[in-house]
Amino acid sequence: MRETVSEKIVNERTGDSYTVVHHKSGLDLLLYPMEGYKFTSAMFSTDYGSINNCFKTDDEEDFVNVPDGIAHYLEHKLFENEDCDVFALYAATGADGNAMTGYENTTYLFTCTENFYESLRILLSFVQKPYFTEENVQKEQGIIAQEIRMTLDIPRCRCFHELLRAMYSAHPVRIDIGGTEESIAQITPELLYKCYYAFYDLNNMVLTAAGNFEIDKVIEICDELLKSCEDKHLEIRLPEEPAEIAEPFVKTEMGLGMPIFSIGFKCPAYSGMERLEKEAEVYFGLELLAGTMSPLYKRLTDEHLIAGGLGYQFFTGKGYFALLFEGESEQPERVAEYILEAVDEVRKNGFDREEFELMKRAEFGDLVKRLDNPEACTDGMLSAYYNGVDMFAEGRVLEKVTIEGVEAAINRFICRENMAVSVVK
Amino acid sequence: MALKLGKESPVNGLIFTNTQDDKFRTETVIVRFITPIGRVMPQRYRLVSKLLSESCARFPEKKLLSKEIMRLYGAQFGALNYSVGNYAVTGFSATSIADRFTFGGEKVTLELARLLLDCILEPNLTDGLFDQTSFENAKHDLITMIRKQKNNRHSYALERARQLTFAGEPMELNTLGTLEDAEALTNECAAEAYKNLLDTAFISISFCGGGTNTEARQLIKERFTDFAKSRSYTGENIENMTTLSKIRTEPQFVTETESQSQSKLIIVYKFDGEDEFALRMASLIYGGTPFSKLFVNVREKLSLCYYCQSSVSGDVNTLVVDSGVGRGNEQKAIDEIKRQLELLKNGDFTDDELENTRRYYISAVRSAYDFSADMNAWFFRRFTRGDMLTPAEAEEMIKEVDRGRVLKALSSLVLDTVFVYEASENGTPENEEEEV
Repeated sequence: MRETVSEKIVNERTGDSYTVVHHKSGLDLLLYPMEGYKFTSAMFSTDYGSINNCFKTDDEEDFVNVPDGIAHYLEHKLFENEDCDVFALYAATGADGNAMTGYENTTYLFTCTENFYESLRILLSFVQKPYFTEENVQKEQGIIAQEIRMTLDIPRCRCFHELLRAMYSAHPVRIDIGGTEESIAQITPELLYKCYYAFYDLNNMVLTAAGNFEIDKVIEICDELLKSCEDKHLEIRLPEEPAEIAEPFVKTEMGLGMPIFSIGFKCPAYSGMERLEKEAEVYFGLELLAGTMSPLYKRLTDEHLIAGGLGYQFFTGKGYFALLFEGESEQPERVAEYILEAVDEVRKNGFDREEFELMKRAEFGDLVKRLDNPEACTDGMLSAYYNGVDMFAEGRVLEKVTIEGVEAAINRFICRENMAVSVVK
Repeated sequence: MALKLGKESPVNGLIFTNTQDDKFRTETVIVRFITPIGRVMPQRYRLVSKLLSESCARFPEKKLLSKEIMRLYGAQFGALNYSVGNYAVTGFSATSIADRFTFGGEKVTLELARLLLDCILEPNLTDGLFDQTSFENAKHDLITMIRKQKNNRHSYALERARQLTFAGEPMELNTLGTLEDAEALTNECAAEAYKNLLDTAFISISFCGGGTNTEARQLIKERFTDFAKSRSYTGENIENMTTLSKIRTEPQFVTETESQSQSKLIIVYKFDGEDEFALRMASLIYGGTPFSKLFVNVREKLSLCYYCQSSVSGDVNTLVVDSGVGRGNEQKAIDEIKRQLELLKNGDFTDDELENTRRYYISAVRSAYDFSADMNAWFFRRFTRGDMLTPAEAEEMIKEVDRGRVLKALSSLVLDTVFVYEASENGTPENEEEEV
């Protein structure tokens, strides 16, 4: 077994810091005590999400395919211990427990203002103690079916999911995180155990906490409760995704009072530091292209093509990277045309340099604001960890971004050929 | 440093509150204009707040104002509109980082305070009217917001249940207003509403954050005190915004059908009790935690839903149960939700459940100390209830709630409205594919 080693991560500009502990069990701990706070947030997370539906370990002879939605189903079922429900355990400490499954990760969390160490014990224990039976797996189907249906009734989610299906023809990001009622009906205790033992390996997991606690006490509890895992040589297979979009336009009828749209531009996927740099470039690029200072925003607003602004974001992960715009409009196709025309204008004249510098300043302000919030810090440390960097790296990368890089990214990524439009009416 | 709290009312119709804790790196100012709810004026105030938050005489275009906000380290600046009991709140919120974090020691909090004052008191008016394009854009936004209310089935069900519950009472109205009224709005109406808002509203100004924005607070206090002295406020000196809704003699049952995947259930109870903390404890035991009766029975045991929760309104005497269930299971869920309340009224909860709920509740209250926005919201909520209880004082009151008080609170709950927003037989809407 290796030794426990610690390192300090410092934000040179603000003086803030947190500690990364490489625990002897294989788990990394990201710990950020915050002076003067009563509140503490903790997350225990595995690098396993809905897109990991084809994998192999030493236990298997070949790659196995598992039903869609199984990572999310597993998250629900871990809350049921052999002898009691996890929420009943948290009830005795006053902590508020929850969990969330994404495309790439599953995270178990709690927040509290007292009894942090007792709650941490609960978190570390139940996540390491699966208990799946025919009966308890069957019972969950009705609950998750209603969760799937709830999502289907939210037009914004529906529009986004349909856009992903329009952009991606093979990558599992096109499948809803919860799966379908048909796919979850195929889930068995055996399949859940198979996924659990493949992905819930401490070498594939991370613990983060921010707020009111002492680092040494957390390490002590980890020494006591973490069970070292043998390396099962996990391999994940993602299908080959073509560069082209699957469908240029999809429409869904929901009887809405006002149509909504999502417009996506499918881009090549990146990883590691290159991904972080591309994210930073498109982050600035989208704001300059479509933010409230932009000519595009003014044009869309003055012509009443949108109301309440144009939403924009990037969407990245393992094997996918896209730029997204969303909003409400009677004429989504015209909105898409205007976006393309705005990029043509950038190709000719570039972005406004003064606005670019103002954005850098604004981004620094946002980073400072986030450090006020223990939940944002816990989440920020976790996201950065999965990106292979530290929480303060985002600030360092943003400082280095150039306007030329931003223009090049927008000019390259936003074009008609890789555009898909999803409309819900 | 522990929380510091201050409150002063230098002029009739104007109140300042200040909460500060030096661990915060941000400073927030919220200006709230409080007026009686009504069919017409809150909608106009909403429109005006949009206009004021997007320009002023110094920055007459949204682009220029946006640039200024970016220059102020990406300050957050925007309008807010909602109702509390029989009142409409129209406001503006401005948050920036503390001056000590700026690159060159700029007084960013003071500059943001100036911007806030300019937007509210020095708007971009020409010949007494707003810029016509800005007005048309704000009107279009408002009309879109009204039209899209039905887009989100869940929030629409909650809104519809609210309208049914308070039919014939002022709380029936919301600040969006009607589509007909919005379509008839003119620039003249907006300009008149602006003047009316400043002349007649009760003004509440809250400062919250690290407390380093001394000059900003001073400037805002001086300007608003002078302004309030210059008007002759004849309105109510608001000290409590909670309202009692009439308790129905017979409950109403309303079903509407929609093409959707899941039926939404909203069950509204009213109460005549005044024991705020006992009622909240009762609601948490019933359906406010992941170990509550509704969660354990309706979701976990019967697998009828993903969510089934109860909450007590902060401003009117209602407890609302909210769930989403499969088509055909609506009555089964309603029966179980009602049965669980009856069991509770008969004392079917353990001392452990009571204590665990208390712990959960206290933890939620305490956490307000660690989030600047929560702290601000906490004290405004207390203001609407007519007191300025700190979270620590509330915690002591929660500790005193015993089983008898919870039972008394539960017994005061009377079924008022059951609204079923039923999924139609054709269920999930289908996709269509087309070429662009």
